[in-house]
Amino acid sequence: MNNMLRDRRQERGWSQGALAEALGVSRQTVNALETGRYDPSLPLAFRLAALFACRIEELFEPSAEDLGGARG
Amino acid sequence: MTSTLDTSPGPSERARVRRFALTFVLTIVAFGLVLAASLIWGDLDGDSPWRLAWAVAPAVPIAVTAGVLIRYVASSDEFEILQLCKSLAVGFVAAMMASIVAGLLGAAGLEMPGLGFIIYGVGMFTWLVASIVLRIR
Repeated sequence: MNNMLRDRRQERGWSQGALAEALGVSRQTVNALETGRYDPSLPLAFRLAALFACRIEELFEPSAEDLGGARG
Repeated sequence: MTSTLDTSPGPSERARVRRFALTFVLTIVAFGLVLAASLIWGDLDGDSPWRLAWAVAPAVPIAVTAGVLIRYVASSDEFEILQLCKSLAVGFVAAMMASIVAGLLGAAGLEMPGLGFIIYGVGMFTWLVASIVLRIR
């Protein structure tokens, strides 16, 4: 999954620690989210969307790999 | 301050880690003191029935350590818990492998004093290494 978290955070001038504090997670978790090493749970994704005042789809988008297994 | 290289945790995370580290170290120091007392005054090679109580006395501060660890894990976020479970699983597999090897050697007549501590050490060390590898990966 691709995400725009780092751009959104930097637009607001927040450090990773500040974002972690606002989300109630560790800085390591924010780093893992931004670098794509970890995809958040739905509740955490909603918290992120609420914090950045946008929709989840504006923060995260599926990669080609994610869509590779999609059936329809 | 807003650099992507900014690696400073927030104040509540710092406080949480500091509180954990302090209580963890205190319980380990308590374990060392009780263990020393047990070895000095426990008469572990004697035949007093109290020696059994002395022998297991160090398990009390270790139980408190376990409580401190459980509380820390319970306050961790979803990514930290995932990392912890992965590293713990690796440590568990290593400890199980060590116990199987020890069991097979025991079946062949090889006696190993302090076997429980060896298996414990293998599990803990592997857990630690797996935690570090996962953190820097």
